[in-house]
Parts: sequence; C-alpha cells; structure tokens
Amino acid sequence: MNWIKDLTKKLKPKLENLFNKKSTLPDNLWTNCASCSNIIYREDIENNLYCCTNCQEPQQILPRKRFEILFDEGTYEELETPRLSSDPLNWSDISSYKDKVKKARKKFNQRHAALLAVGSINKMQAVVYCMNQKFLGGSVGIEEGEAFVFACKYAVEHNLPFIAFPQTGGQKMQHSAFALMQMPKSIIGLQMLEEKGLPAIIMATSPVAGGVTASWFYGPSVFVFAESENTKIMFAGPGVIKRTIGEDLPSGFQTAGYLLKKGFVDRIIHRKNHREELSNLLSILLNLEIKKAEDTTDAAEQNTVSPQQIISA
Amino acid sequence: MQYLDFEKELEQLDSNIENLKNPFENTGLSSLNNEEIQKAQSEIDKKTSEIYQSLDGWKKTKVARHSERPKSNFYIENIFEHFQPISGDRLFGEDEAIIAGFAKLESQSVLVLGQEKGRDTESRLKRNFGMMRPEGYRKCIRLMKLAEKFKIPVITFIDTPGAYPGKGAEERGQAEAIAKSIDCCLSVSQPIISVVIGEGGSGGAIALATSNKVLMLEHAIYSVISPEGCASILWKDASKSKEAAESMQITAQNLLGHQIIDEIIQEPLGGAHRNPKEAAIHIKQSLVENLKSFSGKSADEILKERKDKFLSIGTKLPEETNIFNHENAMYFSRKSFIKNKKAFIILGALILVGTIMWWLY
Repeated sequence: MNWIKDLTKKLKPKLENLFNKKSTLPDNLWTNCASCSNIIYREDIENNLYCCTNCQEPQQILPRKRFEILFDEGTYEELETPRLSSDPLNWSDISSYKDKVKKARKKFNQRHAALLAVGSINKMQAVVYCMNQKFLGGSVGIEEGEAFVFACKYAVEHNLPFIAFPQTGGQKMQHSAFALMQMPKSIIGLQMLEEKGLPAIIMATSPVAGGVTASWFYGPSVFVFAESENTKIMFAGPGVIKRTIGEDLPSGFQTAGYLLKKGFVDRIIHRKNHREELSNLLSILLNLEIKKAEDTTDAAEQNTVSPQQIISA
Repeated sequence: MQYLDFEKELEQLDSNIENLKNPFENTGLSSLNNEEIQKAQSEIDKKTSEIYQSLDGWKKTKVARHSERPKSNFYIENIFEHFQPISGDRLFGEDEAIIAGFAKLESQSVLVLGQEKGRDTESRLKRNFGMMRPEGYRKCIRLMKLAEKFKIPVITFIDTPGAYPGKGAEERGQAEAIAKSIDCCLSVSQPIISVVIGEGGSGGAIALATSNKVLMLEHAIYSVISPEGCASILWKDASKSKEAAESMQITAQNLLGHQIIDEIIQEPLGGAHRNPKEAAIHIKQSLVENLKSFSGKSADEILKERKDKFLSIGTKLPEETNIFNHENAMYFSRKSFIKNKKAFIILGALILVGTIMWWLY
C-alpha cells in the first residue's frame, strides 16, 4: 500500500493549501528607503511615522495610514463618495481596464484612487482628501474628480477647512476627455471654498504630475506645501520633456526644494510637523485660538463627535 | 495640395482632371471636353464625401493636423473686422503661439484668443508649433479680465498639440499658469465661446476651452493626451496610435455624444483645407448664432450655466457600462468557479462516493 502513502503525501500539502488560508506572516520585514536607499527594518519605519530612520525622508504611504497619523488618536470618519462610472469608454488596451479596476479595488479596499475623511487635527476639524498612487497610478478620472468636488461641497456645508494630499500621475488616459474635464471641475470645487472664505491647503506628496498640477494643485487661493524637499512636482514629466525638446534636465529639477526657490511652493513641512503646523495655520486663518500640541492626549475625552461617527482605524 | 495616406485615389482623380483641363495635354483636341471634366469632377466629389464620411479617430487626427488646414490667423482675418492685436503678459514676455486682440464680429465687440500653429517652417518656429508657454496663458488671463471690465464676450480658437513641455516653461510655472487660466475662464461673467479648429491637446487646450459653449469643427479632435503618447504609455508601443485614437474617442462626433462639447460645425466637402473660405463662413454663422443666445442673460446666469455644465459632465453615465458583454461573462464564470472551488470539490467527492456505493451494493 506504499503508493497510497506516497499519493497522500503528495496530495496532503495541496489539499491543505486549498482549504487553509495563506500564512499571515509578513513576507518583507525589511524595506528600502526611496531616497537614501538604505535598508531599514519595517517596524522601525512604522514607529517613525513611515519616515526613513536614516535620512528622515517620508516614505510613500496609503491614505488610511496617513489618516491614522494625521488625525487625533488616529480616529476619523471616512466619507463615502458618489458612485459614478469607473470605465465610461469600456477601455481595453493590452488587458481590460475593468479587470484592473476590480483588482485594485480588492487590493486596497477603496473604490477609486482617492479617499475622503473628516476628523480633527489638534482639535481642528477638517475635511481631508488623500490620494493613493499605488491605485492604478493614482490617476484622476470621473470618480476621483467627483470626490474632490464632493469634499469641497462637504467642507462648505459643514463650514470646515479643506486639506488635500495629491499623489498622482495626472489625468486618467482611460477616461480620455472625461478625465480632462475634471480639471475645470475641481477648480469649481475650490472656488466654492473661496466664496465661503474657507482655507484650502494642498500638501504635495511625491509624485504630483500632469493635469492635477495644472488644476487644483495651483487652484484659487490655495496654500501649496510639500512633505519633503525631494517631493516630485511637475507638469510634464522628464520623459516628455526629453522627447519633445531633447533636453536633459538638471538634477533636482522638478522637486519641491527647487520649486520653493522658484516661488512655486509656499513651504516645506515635514510629515512629523504636519499635525501641529497645519492646525496652527488653520487656527490663524480662521481666527481661532491656537491649541498646543500637548493637548492631544486628552483630546479624546473632550471630543464632541459622537462615538458612532468615529470609525476606529 | 498635400494628400494624406488614405487619399491616394483622390490624388489620382485630381491629376486626371488636371490633364483634362489642360488643352495642350490632349493631342488633337484644341477645346476642352467639358462633359468629361464635369463627369470627372462629380466622381471626385462622390469619392471625397465617401472617404470623409467614414473617417476614424486616427484619420481625423491626420486631417486635424494637415499642414494646409486653415489656422487661427486665417480665421481671425476672415471672420472678424478691425482686429486690434495686443501682446505681452506684463510679467515676462510675449508668447507668439497665441494671437490675441479685440475685434468686431458683425456689430458685436469681442475678445479673440487664437492658438496659432503656423503654416510654413518659418512661421511654425515663430509660433512654437502652437505650444503655449506660461506667458501666453498669463497674457490671456490679463486680456480676459480686461474683456470682463468692458463687458465684451470672449471667443477662443483651440489648435494646439499641448502646452509647451520645456525646462523654462516648467520653471516659470506652466502648471500654475494653466490652473489660473482655467480659474479665470470660470470667473469671467461674460460669455466665452471656444471653437476647436484642429487639435485640442490636453491641458494646453482646456486652459482656454473652459467655456459656455465648446464648438468643434467636423474633423477636429480633442483629447487628454496625443494618440502617440497614449499608445507609448498604455500599449508600450508607439505604433499602436491608431488603436489609441479609436479607444480614446477623440472625434467631435464622439464628444458630442458624451455631451462634452455643445455643437459640431460642418466643414466643406473634403475638410476645411479644401475650401478654407467656406469653413470660415460656417464658423462665423455659428459664432453669431451662439452669441445671440446669450443676449438678455445676466452675469450670474452666464457664470452658473458654465459651472453647472462642467460639474455635470460624466455624472449621468451608468455606474458600469456594458457589464454583460462577452468578456465579462467569461470573467464571471471563471471567478465563480474559483470562489466556489471547495463546493465543487466536495460535490465531486460526494458523486464519487455515491457512485462507488452504488457499484458495491
């Protein structure tokens, strides 16, 4: 009966695989810094607000993680954005675009590249629009554009300031002219805030490119900040410039540090100071009392938002 | 006349008719054979309309970029009277890729902003192939604010491959200039009418086409990226431009269907380059009619109409289009099998056990 034993031996792991869930151990305990390319222990980086422990360069993070570190006690309310068409032209190039959207939605548990949240930053309530470049390049299509306007409308209705964290490759080619039309649309959103006298802050996180840079990034009455000197901010990418004029770009071109010198970025605020500096600026603009950063410890007790509204992150 | 690659037959027919029209070519005949010429001409017309009625996105791209296609300069000369050109952004310099100035359209004063590609090598270099730099957009912003002050409507002609992607342009804030231009277009309380006369290229076009009415010539295109650019990024193969042009749905007819543009202006037979004067007349008629539709409207109404139009684009589409096409049906069946793998295996095992039991007893 040896052959039966052999067979069971062969089949057993396969059957186990089929019925058991995959191992939950993280497969990569180490990670590379995008800037200094040092190898860092993942846990260290997580305890350092996802900044490199060596050069302090902020690493790319997903929207929900950003919300966690931005809002008091890591609590916030995620807003559901209007559901619109994700593939208006029934796009298909090398593969079907619908499949790609489905996969990305499953992977990141978000409907499109942008997430919207309301919460308090040092007790300063704000609406935050945050993008995820890993979600199909973070490109802006119909839903992302609508979410932006929705966020602006929500801020106007609830009299709240607005903060956006762009992280994108630009407009979504798969939506063609529909994507192009999101440029004026998002500016209309910012105009609503402007009319109501509410501040809008754009905090660039690497990279920001294309139509987003040429629309709401430099929208009406916005503050343009960047997370790091190395944050990439551009309209045309280096590839396009090379192809069109055959010119190589100097190093450090199209970074926030460079644009700061050229007068196109207001200020660079490191991720570690986001909570304090953003809430201070908003308090000054709205003529409110500035709250000290230490107060955050008892923020939860004094929070007026009902517990049902807060989704623990 | 420069013939496009799909116009080979027309080229042949045209040269035939030239021969017929030349009395010295025909041996033994001193007078023209008028009947023959008429017949040939009607054949050409039939063929031209046949070809031009069935142009796809890529062929239209070629027509839109045709070197002899009339450009902004021509239309400004032939549509308006007493054109008063104005240059400079008062900040850095003058951008010759955009012709700007005040003029009369019949009896109505207007501000005209026209992206100009140039018609020969020299003028193309001067006009930077219609690719505007930040100065150009800032000049437009300056003039649109003036137009608002004098309560004069704005007319823009769109014909650009895109905003200029150079080092200097980036340094001087190309993105900022475009964003401010869109913002300005949205805040002018006078009607703005845009006509896409050739190529409406991405951000460079929308910066001046955020208007109350977007009109497009029959064979013009309007897209978020050039078909070549799209093909090289998404197909990773620049030779797939034809597929990209088709997929992006960049023609006037497609865009009218999607309610992204408001009207298509008919072109003369065989495209605007075959009869530029006629094309100018069509554009003029349409501009006059469209401007009339704004008479009696208040500033608030004009502003609101424009904003509402851009806010509603794309919001009325169904959430998922064509979800039950063949490809998706395959996808669903595959997916349901993977999901229910366990159930299928258990079912299979039960059937097997059942068969064995039945066979044994």
